[in-house]
Amino acid sequence: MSKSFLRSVRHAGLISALVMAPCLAINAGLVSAETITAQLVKAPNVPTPITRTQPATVVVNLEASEWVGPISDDNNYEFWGINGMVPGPMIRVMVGDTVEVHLKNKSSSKQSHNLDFQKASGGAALVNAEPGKEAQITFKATNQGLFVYQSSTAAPANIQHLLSGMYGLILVEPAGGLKPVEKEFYVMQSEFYMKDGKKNDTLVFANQKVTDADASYIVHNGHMTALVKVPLRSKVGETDRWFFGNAGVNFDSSWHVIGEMLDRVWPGGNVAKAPIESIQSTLVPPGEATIGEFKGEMPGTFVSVDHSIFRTEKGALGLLKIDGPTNPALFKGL
Amino acid sequence: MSKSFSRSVRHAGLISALVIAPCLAINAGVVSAETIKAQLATAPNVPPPITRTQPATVVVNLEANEWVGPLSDDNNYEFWGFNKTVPGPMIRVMVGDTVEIRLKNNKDSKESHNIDFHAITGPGGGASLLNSEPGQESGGKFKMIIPGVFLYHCATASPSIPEHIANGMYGTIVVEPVGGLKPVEKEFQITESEFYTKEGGKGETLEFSYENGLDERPSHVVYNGHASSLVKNPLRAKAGDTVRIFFTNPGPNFVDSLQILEQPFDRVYSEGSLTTPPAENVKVTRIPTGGAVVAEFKVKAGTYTFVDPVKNRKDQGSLGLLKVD
Repeated sequence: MSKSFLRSVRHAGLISALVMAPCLAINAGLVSAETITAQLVKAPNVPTPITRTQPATVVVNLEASEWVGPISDDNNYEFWGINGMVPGPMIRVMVGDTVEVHLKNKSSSKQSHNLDFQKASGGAALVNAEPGKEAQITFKATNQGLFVYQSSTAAPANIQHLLSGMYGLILVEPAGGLKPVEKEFYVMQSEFYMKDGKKNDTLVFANQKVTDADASYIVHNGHMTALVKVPLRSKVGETDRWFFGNAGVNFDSSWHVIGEMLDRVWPGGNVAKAPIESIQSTLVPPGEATIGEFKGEMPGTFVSVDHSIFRTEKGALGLLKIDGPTNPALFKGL
Repeated sequence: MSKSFSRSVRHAGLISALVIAPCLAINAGVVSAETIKAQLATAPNVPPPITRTQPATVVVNLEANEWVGPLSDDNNYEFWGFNKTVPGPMIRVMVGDTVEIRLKNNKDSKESHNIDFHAITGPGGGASLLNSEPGQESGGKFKMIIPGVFLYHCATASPSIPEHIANGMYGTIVVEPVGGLKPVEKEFQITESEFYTKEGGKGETLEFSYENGLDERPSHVVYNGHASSLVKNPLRAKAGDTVRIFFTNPGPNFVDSLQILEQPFDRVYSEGSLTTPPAENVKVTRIPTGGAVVAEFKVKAGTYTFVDPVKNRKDQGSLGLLKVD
């Protein structure tokens, strides 16, 4: 039984604890003080930090759909995604929370879609919905850290779901939460494999190219220039925390911010461990996520990249604009 | 005010401290006891460890060149690089130093060149100040605030940033932490990088292939700029030595793996962090692109083979020898 549960029992007082006890035996793990609806926002935005100190039941409303949208300024693609976004919304809960995922599959969908939360739950946690139907899964967020949730629907091919945008990040905060910082960003690297086409074509998924690891696009936040057209913003002196995921499926990302060191990195998003410090580039394998933080020391435009540098030509980059006073003691021309 | 500055003030005495004080208000951070010229070393050699205890201003003179030289025993390549070596020379400084970079671009160059130092905090890692047209020189002063082992590389957008890296424009800068690194008997630097060339016959000067770069299909994966550099000239150590390898991965594409066959590393400073406790007894370590590691191990007599064990990379050149007498 978790410490935080014990705390909540203490708070509720002895009598209610005695009353609750029999229910516990039946609904083990589903006990919590309150039921709340998860705040879901589009990347690069991040849900607000958790200020609760008690576990809750968190209802997460997700909808799978299929739509045609721009992958670059030149081409469209038929995305399959969650809540109309690629990557799907970031979900933020606390260790010990009971997470109730409602997955609706839009009636216009041609495919059934599912989502797998097993990394956050520490056990099987798969929810599957046929077109026009809704399904639900409840799991306890037992593993703290930052995880990729993703589709593992077998038909037409698992890989096509993964490579059409069915993924996002779930953050399971430790009890007491993460240390507050000024800015938080959500960035996810994803690969797209398409048959060749002309300008303005809607490009078609190419399974052979996946096998050949011959990516057409490798992008940050679902579009070749998503974070170039709308840069992230921060100020000198602020600490920026990045939740950086790699949807994969073929390439390790060597995540690097040009002109800024990552002061602290939690590899694999494992916040239970001490971070590694002063990192230029950090490895983010497919299907994993990392947390990186740095304090902005100088104003200017900083480019976040996968340092496997040819991939920047396929879209694996984004901009961060830091405003504020310059620091000539740190950086100046001769 | 930093401890080391306080120390230097104590040394200088009270009167000069009073004299310095007003200047400080104007030139905060630019104060340092001395200006010295960086001792640069060509791979696999490294500059000597820092013995200073006070930060200094360290002047680093680099020149961008374009030249034809051997990439393997069979073929030449038109390299672009720093100080006519691939990798470029290794720079060694300490935290708190101000590094004054002067980048000259040789007048015979066809391209403009610059440098992004992963050790520099500020736009482009300094590239925004270090752009040099052929025959021109540029420069900047940068304070080293974070220790570690870092890549530096050219990041000029014309014809493309990847092409400058793919042609050999990279090197290593070590920023020692306060108190320096623990002394060891032997230190070496190894840089593993891929080259993407069009096909060509024996004896030809191979041409760069942007397409093969995009496809991540290299023709060569080499240590220190040549397919057999560390086979023809093995590293040398003596039995009982502790060997330290500064290993840098400029890519341009591949995440590297470093292994010494049948010999685990005693310590690996993952991702080049010198302030995080090292991993111990490591068989294979992975190095992100645009990253570095420091690996240390004590050697016995014999010949050690180090490789990138992934796929056929060692057949493409990422194989080297260490001979221990």
